[in-house]
Amino acid sequence: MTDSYAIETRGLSRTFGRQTAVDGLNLLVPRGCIYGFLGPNGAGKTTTIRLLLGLLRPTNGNIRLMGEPIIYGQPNLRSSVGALAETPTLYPHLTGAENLEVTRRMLGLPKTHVAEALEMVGLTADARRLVHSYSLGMRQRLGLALACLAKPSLLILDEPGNGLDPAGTRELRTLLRRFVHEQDATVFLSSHVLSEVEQIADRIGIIHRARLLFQGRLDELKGYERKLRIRVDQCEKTREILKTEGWRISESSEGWISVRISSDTDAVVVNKILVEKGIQVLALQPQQATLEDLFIHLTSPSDKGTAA
Amino acid sequence: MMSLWRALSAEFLKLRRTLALRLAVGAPLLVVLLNFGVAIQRPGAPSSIDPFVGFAQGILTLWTLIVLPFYAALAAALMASIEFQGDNWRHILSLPIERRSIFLAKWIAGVGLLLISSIVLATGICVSTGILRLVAPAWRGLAVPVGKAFRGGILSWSAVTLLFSIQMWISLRWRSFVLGLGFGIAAILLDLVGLGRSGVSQFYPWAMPVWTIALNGSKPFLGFIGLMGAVGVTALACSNLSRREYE
Repeated sequence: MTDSYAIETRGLSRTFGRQTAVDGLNLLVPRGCIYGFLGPNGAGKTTTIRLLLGLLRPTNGNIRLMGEPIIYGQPNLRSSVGALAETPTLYPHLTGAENLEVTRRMLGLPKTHVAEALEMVGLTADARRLVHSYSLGMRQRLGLALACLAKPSLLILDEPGNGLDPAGTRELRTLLRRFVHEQDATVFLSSHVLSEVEQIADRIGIIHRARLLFQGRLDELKGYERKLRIRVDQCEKTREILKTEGWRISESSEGWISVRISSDTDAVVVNKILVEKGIQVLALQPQQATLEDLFIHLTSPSDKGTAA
Repeated sequence: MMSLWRALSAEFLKLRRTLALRLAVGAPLLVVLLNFGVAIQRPGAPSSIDPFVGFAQGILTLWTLIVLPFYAALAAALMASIEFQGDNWRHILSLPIERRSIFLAKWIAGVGLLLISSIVLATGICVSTGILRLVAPAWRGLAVPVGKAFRGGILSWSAVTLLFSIQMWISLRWRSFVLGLGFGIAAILLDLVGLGRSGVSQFYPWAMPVWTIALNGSKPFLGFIGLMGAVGVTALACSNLSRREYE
């Protein structure tokens, strides 16, 4: 294990009775990146986060956060980790500022941290209001302020966009980008909202049925499945030619055929083959799969392949 | 030690605007007012004992027999529910602070609330007897039972810490508010139907506070036993709660 990773797990596993919630997870989250941790509901995202935060004891494997080993039940006093769970953990009978003050006192932080955190999330004007009168978006922002209070070098967020409207989601993205930029921090973000992750994450990990299916840069994943859409005059003949030549046809509709390719130069090769066989190629459109395509491709029951 | 102090400071802040804190003042005042209302309507002082001692004893008996054990159960359940309601354990236990300090701070804050209520009760007894001296001719010239009030308050407080520790363990261990409070009510009822009335049953934790202030045969050592028992139970509870997982 090395210190260049903000999060590093080796063979991390957790079972509940006979059910395996996390199975041999080898997470590698480089420092300074926003890492999107994707998976369908029940895939093991929340269990992974609870293991990282020391709320659950691993059945097997080990964890390092910011280079420090995490031992269950023993607080890692040196590493600075902030966390925001799916629903912010707040005291509704206290004001926004008092909620932050509770954590500030527990961590023994300077008093200025409270005002700075409130300002970061734009809640300075509402700091003296009781939290039970806050809207969901305000609570989410206060939760983020709570997570960022100690100016952590690693921020772990579990489904932070849950319940937010599109404006709130955009605001959250802006806050996270600003936090990473200003604090030079690492963000580990779990979500099942693919578009949200696609817009913010540098690297992603996809977990499905307790196992990590892919981990790497977003562009690497997108390169993992690229398509070429071809419009031709003879669809059936084209399908036969391409199949004979060993190309994988992913879908076809009237006048259009989609072929899986690995690079843009494949488009030139396909075009040449078809023209030589007398097919009139009317259009060629190289397409990058969306994260949603890739996610569904990786997590669909028929496809058990792993790219990790 | 520093982590305990920090956790304790946070714990006192969390008590702001809570029912547990309001009842620490309200519950003993209610008991005093109730007895004061009865005493002021009584035409003469009871002749068998010093009337102010009798007045203080009436308040202390009602307090230690029912109100204090019930308040201890309620305070423990309320303090635990503050964390369970918003799933705040996930946040608190992921902070870089000793888990034992977190639970111990909660226990100390609770014991602090009980101490406040005992002091309010003792002060209430003294103030109300002072008023009775002024307004009731039969009680003029009698001494305010300051010693009786504060001795009773402190002894019953030290005895109640044991049952509070048990209540706190139950309330922190299980999420259900009703479970903690229900357990406390059932234990008080058992005491009332006679479990704590004789022999060895004086050591029944829910009976101990009333035994410390009994007019005939008061057992102040039960206060010491209560405190020692509370320390033991709290040590076990902190160890148990620190090791368990929070899903």
